[in-house]
Amino acid sequence: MLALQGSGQMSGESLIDDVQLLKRIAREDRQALAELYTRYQRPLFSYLLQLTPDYGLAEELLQDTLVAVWKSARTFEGRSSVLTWLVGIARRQAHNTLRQRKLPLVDISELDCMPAQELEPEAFALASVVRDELAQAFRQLAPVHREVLLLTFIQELSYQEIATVLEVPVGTVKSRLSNARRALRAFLDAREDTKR
Amino acid sequence: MNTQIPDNHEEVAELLPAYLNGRLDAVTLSLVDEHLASCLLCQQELAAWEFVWGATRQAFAITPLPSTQVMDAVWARLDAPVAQPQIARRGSPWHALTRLWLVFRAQIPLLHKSIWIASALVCLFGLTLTILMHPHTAGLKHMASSLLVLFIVVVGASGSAFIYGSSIDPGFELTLTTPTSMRFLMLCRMALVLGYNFLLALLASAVFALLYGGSLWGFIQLWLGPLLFFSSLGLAISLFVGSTFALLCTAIIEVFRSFPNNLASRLINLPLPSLDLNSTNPQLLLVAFLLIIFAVLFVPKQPRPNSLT
Repeated sequence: MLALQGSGQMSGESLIDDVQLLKRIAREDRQALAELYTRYQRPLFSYLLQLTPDYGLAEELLQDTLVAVWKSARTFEGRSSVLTWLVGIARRQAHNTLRQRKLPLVDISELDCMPAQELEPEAFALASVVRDELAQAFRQLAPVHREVLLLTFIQELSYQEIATVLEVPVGTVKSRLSNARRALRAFLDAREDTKR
Repeated sequence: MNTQIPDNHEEVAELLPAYLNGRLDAVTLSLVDEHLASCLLCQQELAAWEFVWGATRQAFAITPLPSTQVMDAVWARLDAPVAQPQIARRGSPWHALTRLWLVFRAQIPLLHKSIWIASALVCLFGLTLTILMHPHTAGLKHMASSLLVLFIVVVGASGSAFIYGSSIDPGFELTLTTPTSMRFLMLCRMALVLGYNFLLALLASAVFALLYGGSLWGFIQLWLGPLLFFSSLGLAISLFVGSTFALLCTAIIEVFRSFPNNLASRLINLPLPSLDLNSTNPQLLLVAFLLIIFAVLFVPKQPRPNSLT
């Protein structure tokens, strides 16, 4: 078994700080919640924006997440990192709200069963793809694929941590990530072909 | 921590996202570097991940920040009094039913997929075995039906043993953050798994009765009580000791129950001598019911109130 380091970009010291912050939030210290928000507003908001393209709704979901953190800080046991826990809460809040408002949710099980394409060596360079095209490619990806790429490469969570957030087995995370990679490549390949 | 050199592509490929994120420890990092230096396949795999890593970072580099009013809105919501009409609405039977349904439905994806697949496969395997026995005589038919009941009950017990706990539920800690009672969630999961196993058993019994005659209800009576009993026992043991131990215990008791003339059963004295485990009877149903009540009442205490204080 090979070893991974702790969660995300967090050092051991800041992890301890995060737990201390949650302890203070559990004691209803508002300053602690504000500090936690300052630390994690960027990863949480970027994650929520992948679940809904509506900026206003994403902000509302961010508020829901912070209210939920305030109410349930005592339940944090340290089984996962604070970031994993926060993203998991954000995800639950988002799914509940989207479901209540009857906004479309992706059929996750269907996407997990997507047939895998044959692996081939990558034949294109990142430099040839401008940022707008990448942003468009990500918009074209299925939400579950955007989500897993974001959790892996932006939040820098491990497979196990992503499994905790998404409430799926680790194997599903791996296959979802692999499918996301193929989907991204297929989309950009198609754009390259149309340019020629 | 074991830091053997990763010698297969699959193991190295799985580490590449963490490698790119700089999240491997020093020892693992040097081992992966060593492997990459000599493995063309993994170099190509790394190039593929590098592209996705770079593309993802570029795409998310332009993500906007939330407005500065977020925390003000949060304080306002925390300070707002709870609206009375909402409380009244929440107490209505319709709201209770809707909530019950939502919680019930939400448990389906949270239960491990292998529960559904393994239960169906084991049940199918048991049915196939009984068919392969060609039970055309009364003796053989009795043996075949006992075998099928054994499979049905083992399926039920093993399914119930894996419905609760942090070791088998990847989102256990997140579930704890919800206001829904874990006892209620556990009951919903138990009902789902038990209902699914009941349907599987019913289907297998119908096929058996169709092929070899006999009363379907009579056959159901052979497994209904034991299924309920062993499922409840599996759940109760899994809560207090662990899922694997529960599976092992119920499987051993079930094997001894199914083959009473076996030498082993004479060597080991089961702790339930006065309880008839071989058919559906009121005593067995009562014990099953009590086991479920016991499990619900004594479900491991949640850490909500004091875990961080």
